[in-house]
Amino acid sequence: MAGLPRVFVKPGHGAHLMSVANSQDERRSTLSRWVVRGLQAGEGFAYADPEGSSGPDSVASALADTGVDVDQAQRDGLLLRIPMTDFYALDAPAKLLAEALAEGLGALRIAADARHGLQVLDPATYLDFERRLADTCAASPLSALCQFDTQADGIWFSEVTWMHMGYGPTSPFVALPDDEGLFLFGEVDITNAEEMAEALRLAGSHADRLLQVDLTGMTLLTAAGCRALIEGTDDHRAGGGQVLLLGARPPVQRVLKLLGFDQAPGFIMVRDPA
Amino acid sequence: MRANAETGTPAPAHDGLFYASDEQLLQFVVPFVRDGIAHHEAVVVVAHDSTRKLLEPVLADVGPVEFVSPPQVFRRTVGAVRIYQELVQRAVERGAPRVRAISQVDFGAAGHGREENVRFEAVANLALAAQPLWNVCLYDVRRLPDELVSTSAQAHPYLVSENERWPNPDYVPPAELLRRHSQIGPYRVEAQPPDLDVRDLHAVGLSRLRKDILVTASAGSVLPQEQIDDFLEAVNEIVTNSLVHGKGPVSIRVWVTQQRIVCTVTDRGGGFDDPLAGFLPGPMNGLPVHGAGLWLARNFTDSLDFSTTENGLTARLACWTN
Repeated sequence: MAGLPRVFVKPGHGAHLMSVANSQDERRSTLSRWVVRGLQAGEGFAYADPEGSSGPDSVASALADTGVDVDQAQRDGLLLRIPMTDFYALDAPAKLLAEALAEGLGALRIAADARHGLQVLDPATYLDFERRLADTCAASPLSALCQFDTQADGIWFSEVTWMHMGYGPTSPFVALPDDEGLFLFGEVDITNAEEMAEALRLAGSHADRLLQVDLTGMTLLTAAGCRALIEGTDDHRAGGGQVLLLGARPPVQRVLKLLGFDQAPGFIMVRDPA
Repeated sequence: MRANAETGTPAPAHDGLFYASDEQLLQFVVPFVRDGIAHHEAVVVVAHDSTRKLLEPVLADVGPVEFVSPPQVFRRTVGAVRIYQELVQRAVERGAPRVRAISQVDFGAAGHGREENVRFEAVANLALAAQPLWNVCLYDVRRLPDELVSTSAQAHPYLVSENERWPNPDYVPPAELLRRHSQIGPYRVEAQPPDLDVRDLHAVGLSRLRKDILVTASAGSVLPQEQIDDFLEAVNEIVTNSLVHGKGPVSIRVWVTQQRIVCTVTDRGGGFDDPLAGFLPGPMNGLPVHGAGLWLARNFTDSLDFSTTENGLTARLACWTN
């Protein structure tokens, strides 16, 4: 597709995303923001939590905190909790997608958590699980958010990293468009700033007056990234549009404030997107 | 000296008081504070305990004075500037027309505190130039090294004594003062083999470099995660500048101790002659395009210096525990 940046996921295709969070809060908010955008677009969401898990650790509670009516979503068939051993199986993601499509949903999102998955599968099989998942996401409207706890290096971790979108010869970064704007994911530096700008340009050209840029999943925003934020939204703002910067994590927020985005015309910074 | 606002002392003002006795200090400070309070100005004193003990009882009869200790203010230049800006903002919000500050500027004697002292004093002339702030910096010539005293003197456009206020004939404008005085040499730890040694980095290696520094720093130091993340961002900006503006090969070395992380970034380019680069934010309306990286770097690390030799440019970053 000419002109589309490499890390820009075309609507209707799946995204295989990786998330490494620094804290329980970041983990929960990244997951729930991503899920909510899917629910708002009519996509289903399937996940597995360990037996008996409820309370703050559970996915349901993270969603509820973001304002999702969990019971209603379940009744509507949009929210599916799957037993761990059924979820972490090699053919499970493809089957879940097929069932969702048969129920009339247009697309499905799933969240995998390596801490849980490795309770069910040994590391080598978990790599196979990820490999199959990557293939399915690339070919059909299945998206997956895979959460990892560790930032330490290890051959296994490197291998699994490279299976996820945005990882390659540049810093890991993905932009997900939806009706309201863009959901950005990962790190932006000089290796991929132009792609971020291009993703913003495309999103801006489709947006109404307010272009939502969700930064919940951004772990690093550099000067280059800020320049891309400006250049990519030039046209949109020149035409009278505004750019909503949502959910920036504290370090990203500091960068934005230091470079004046909290006072710049055309930009509005909002911490809590709920 | 009647430090009298009516004589038209402008704000901003950045004066130096170099004193050799407690009497000289008191003879300046008391009228200065009294006049300020009489004109409903806010008064702040940044002073070590020993100086505070001398001033506080006397000033208690004069009026309300806010006391702050130097370590709370003087950690890094851009941070100290921000604290003064916030002090002024709070005072203005409470209705004060101006802030008078008495400041015992002290970035610590260890490490490169002396160089940071000069940096702050020089940068303050520009960074605080729009603030309704009359800042008088205290230098006790009995206790401070001669070199620090004479260099710091050069940073102040005006000098004051208990009797008068006069333009400083030895004043050196900020850029030139920084050019002359603020280079630092290697940290002691650099004599040992680095914990991370990356030769000839290219842009594709940036992500990996950040991860490697994160792992090395997290394992080897007690610095909190947020501080390490900040330091990574600073290193990223400096490395990026070398990649974009400098000349390869770009090399990075990192040393990690329990209390401190040191990183050098070298490239073969000619460097740049802008001693003030990164100390001031760009125009907020236009959003800065150039120099943004350096401004971010100075805000995310405790210490950042550049030195240029015929071999190229070396940037030296360091951060340490509180």
